[in-house]
Amino acid sequence: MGLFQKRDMQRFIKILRFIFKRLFLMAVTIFILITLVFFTLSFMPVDPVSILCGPGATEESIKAVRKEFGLDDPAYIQYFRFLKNLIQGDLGFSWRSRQPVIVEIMSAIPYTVILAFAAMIIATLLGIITGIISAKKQFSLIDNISMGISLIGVSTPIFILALIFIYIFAYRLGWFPTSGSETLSHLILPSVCLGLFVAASIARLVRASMLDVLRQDYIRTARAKGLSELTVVFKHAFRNALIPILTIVGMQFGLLFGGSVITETVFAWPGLGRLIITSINFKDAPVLQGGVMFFAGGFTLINLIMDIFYQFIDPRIKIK
Amino acid sequence: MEGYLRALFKNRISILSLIIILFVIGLAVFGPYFEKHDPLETHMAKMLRPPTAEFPFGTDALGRCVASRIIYGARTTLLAGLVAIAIGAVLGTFLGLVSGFYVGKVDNLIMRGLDVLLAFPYFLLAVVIVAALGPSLNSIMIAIGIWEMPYYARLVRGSVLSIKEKEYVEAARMVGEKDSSILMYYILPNCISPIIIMSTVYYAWAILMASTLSFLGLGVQPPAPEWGVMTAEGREYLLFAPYLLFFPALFVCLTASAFNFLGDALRDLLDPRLHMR
Repeated sequence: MGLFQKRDMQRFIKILRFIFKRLFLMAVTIFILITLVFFTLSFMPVDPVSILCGPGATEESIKAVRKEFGLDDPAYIQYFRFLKNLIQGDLGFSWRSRQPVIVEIMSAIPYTVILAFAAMIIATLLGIITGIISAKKQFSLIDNISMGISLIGVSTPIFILALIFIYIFAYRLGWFPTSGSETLSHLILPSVCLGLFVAASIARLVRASMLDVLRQDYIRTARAKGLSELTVVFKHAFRNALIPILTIVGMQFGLLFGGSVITETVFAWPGLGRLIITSINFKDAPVLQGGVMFFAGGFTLINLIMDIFYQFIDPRIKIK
Repeated sequence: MEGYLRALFKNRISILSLIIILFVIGLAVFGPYFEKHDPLETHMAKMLRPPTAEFPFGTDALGRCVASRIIYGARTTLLAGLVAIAIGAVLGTFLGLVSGFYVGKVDNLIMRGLDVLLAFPYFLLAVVIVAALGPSLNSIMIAIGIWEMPYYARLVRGSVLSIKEKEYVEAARMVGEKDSSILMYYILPNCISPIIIMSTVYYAWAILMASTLSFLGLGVQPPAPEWGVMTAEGREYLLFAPYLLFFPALFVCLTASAFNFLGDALRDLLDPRLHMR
């Protein structure tokens, strides 16, 4: 047999079919999600005309604006028009800035990606290291303390963490700026804050799956062979715990994205999350709609990528 | 020995959590009868006072008593969380019961529908609902309830799947009981204990979410006393009056931690299978 065996080929085809099936399911999910968001937000208690025209607008300009934004059409017509425009990459115009929504979103996305990326690195490193040490030294003082701290971390809303950080590191120590996005030092407080928030969950879950692995027979065998504890933990246990750990890290993207909405708002970091909250405050429905759809759509996409990724790294996962 | 120590430690923690919970509940129920300051009354001559005998937690920028606002805020927060998890538990349990019992199309439809709700990252679903309903206490209670609904549904569905294979359910079916009464009298009672255990944790989530939404200006509206609102108000004076952040933040974290720790201990104690979400 050559480099590719028949078995490998069959597996490859299976994975391809799985990917297509998941892509289709994702498309359905995103479509339902968009529909849900559209109709939910159509209940928004807001009169767009008053935002668009400002107070003291003439009858004529009100009429013109209603026509321009198609506000007199029934909801389902507005919905189909929205879908049609969406396919062409047009999400409408912001009621506040009158800019295309897609432009506002596209200029916010890089900031969210940078913040999420930095926070995820911090969260993963910190969470995995704490989790492994806790599992290795189960029931020890270190374990109790780090699990206690992580449970408090899980119970601390991220805006409070952010404000404590601002108070200590910006106001008292003056090490970092309180808000903004101009330099790298602006990134540090928000990313550490968001990272810690997510690390707390990761640490707790990593500990559980490491404990699970450490109880397996092959670990006992490895120890019985007289391997050093370091080899046992990192070569035998950690490698086997890697897949559940990756799953755990993947599952935290929701927390990460949601948390970034709050972090961005507190630190005035001009990402997608802050855009969403500002658009609610200004009752800017088109931006809100577009922002939420991008956020949820991106999250669904990441979930899909993680799912496909597992197929490749773990041959034991059965493909349905 | 160490295991025993840990059990003791865990137990001590859960006792402490219970004390904190009872204290906060006591504060919410009886506090207003002992507090002499009105949470909305402003004392313009006594703005931004640090904690003193008259105002144990100090006064805010409008000279309002922080301690009394914390006490009345406890009422709002605890009640909002309770209504929210009640909404989530009732809707989620119903969907979970139905989808676990009728495997097949109905199950698929319900679970896929709930998957769409779970496709919103973390608290974005609540934000969308609040945006649609307008910012108020009622909207955040509804939003948090709907947000927690899929978690309840999954939990209940899992229990139903295992319970319905039990012999007594089979027996009930043989005797000719209707589906609805099997669900109500044979399956539901056996789902109650995981629901209650997880509700402790979901209650912590609800409290955190309520204060977060209120902090962002999407929930309870000022001047009403609520911990998240107070944090937002205190933020402006963080540099000069950090206690305006400290007290509401302390109460949010303390209450949520207590429920989280208690939920954790309950899960360990009553049902090791539910351990770690």
